[in-house]
Amino acid sequence: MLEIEQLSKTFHIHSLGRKRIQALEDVSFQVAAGEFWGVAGPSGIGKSTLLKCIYRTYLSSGGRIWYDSRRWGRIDLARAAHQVILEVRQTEIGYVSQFLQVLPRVTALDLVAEPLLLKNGLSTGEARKIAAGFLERLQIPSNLFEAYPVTFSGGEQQRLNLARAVIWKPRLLLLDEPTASLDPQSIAIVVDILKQLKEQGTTLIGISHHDDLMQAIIDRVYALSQEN
Amino acid sequence: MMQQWQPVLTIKDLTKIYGGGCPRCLEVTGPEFETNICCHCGAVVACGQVSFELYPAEVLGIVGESGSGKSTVVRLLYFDYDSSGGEIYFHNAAVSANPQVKLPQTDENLLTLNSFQKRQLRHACLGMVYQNPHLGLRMAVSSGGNIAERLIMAGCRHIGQMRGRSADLLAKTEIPVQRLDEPPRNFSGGMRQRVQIAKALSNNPVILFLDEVTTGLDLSVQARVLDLIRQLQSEFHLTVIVVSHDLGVIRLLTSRTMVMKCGRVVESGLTDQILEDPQHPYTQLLVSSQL
Ligand SMILES: Nc1ncnc2c1ncn2[C@@H]1O[C@H](COP(=O)(O)OP(=O)(O)O)[C@@H](O)[C@H]1O
Ligand SMILES: [Mg+2]
Ligand SMILES: [Zn+2]
Repeated sequence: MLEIEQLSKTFHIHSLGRKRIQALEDVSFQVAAGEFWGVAGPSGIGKSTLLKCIYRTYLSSGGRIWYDSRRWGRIDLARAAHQVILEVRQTEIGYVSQFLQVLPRVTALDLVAEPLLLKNGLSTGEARKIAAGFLERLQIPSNLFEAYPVTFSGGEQQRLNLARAVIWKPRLLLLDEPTASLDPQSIAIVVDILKQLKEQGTTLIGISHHDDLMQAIIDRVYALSQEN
Repeated sequence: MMQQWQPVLTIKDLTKIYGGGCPRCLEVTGPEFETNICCHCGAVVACGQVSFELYPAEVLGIVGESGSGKSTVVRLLYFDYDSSGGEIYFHNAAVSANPQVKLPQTDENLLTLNSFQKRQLRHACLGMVYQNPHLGLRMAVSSGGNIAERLIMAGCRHIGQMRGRSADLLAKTEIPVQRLDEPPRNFSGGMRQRVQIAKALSNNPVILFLDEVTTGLDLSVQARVLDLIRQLQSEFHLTVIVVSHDLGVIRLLTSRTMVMKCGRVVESGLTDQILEDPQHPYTQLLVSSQL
């Protein structure tokens, strides 16, 4: 479903005399539909960069990211037209960032319901109902549903973030340390949700650490190291 | 559905030069010269060779420092100014829902229309909200009257209908209906922008231009106007160009962004890419100066 060929990424920082930072070099691997790949490696090695290149938040400097889109067929995510990328993000590829992107003055419940309205075309009532169920499952206290997430704890925000990305059942899900600020009990719930998503056919690529609970559901690991 | 992939607007080499101009204006201005003033003739290249496409239901941002040419671009597209050069194409297929006027052909450069045709097209298909409400509203005329004027220009002739529609629009933009008969000069900055938005939406525009709509408003007022825009966009799937010098506004509202400096587009891309992986030195500076 995803075929990464000799992907590289170099940042050019102009204010530092066009300093070059080589974040990725010659990354190649193939992800089959339904697999869960872990991306491993020490901090600063380029794990988030890799996910952001796939999502096109970063522009790749070289190489290809072939993706078999349901709608567009085989496309190179590193080069496809903006409109195609936006459409694929809307209907096929989800991304969980390390930090919650809060929308000001949108309640927790609406934040999680929004993807269902936009992507799955549900009514507001239906979407909020499903969202509420999801938040319960993630053990977000119900008195927070109508509150603004800006004030939430790191762990609560992280769970909301995950809920928002998972609730619409994307075809490919990119996870940037989805369990980083969670306690063991929440991690177990998140892992359970991801497991279920995988059983329903979603392909996943996630940054993980060798000691975390996600290992239990990861099929294969791509290890980034200095050589690449 | 495929229609979505055809742009509503195609803009090629749009240029506006103030002052006589000379054959070398474009060669000696722009970001690499750090100026939009021609060193040979002193003319100002407010925008030069701007090209892009606008797609249905997308929100496109134009960001850049003050004086970079952002407003010039949208005001050329709204036919507020005459351009010095370039081409604008309006793709009929995408807008066939708006049949009041005979629309120009897809292959007809809009800049060659006469001023009557331009006005007609504006009234039928375009909406504009200015930073300065004095440009968009008549301050002494009632808010309802301001909107009715616009409805008349768009071809509405029925008084009762107009009042109903005005009341509707004010409700949508969260202005108490009982204030329909008050003039905007009685209103606060945030409310004036709401009246402008109501007026701009009155003809069901195919394209809406928002030029620094929240600039200068108090933060809390700004936030509510931005909420309103977000809400209207998701409800009506409007096609919008948002001009702002504020990356926060751009992040909140847009999915694609063009960055302008010294009258030129220096970079354009998906908004998250522009913010997280800016390529041009100027964009890097802009992003790193964000609070
Ligand atoms: N009527 C005018 N006469 C001369 N120069 C103008 C006029 N309007 C704008 N300019 C110049 O054109 C440039 C772009 O202006 P503008 O489009 O208003 O920028 P922005 O909206 O990005 O702040 C500026 O250098 C400005 O001074
Ligand atoms: Mg301006
Ligand atoms: Zn000149």
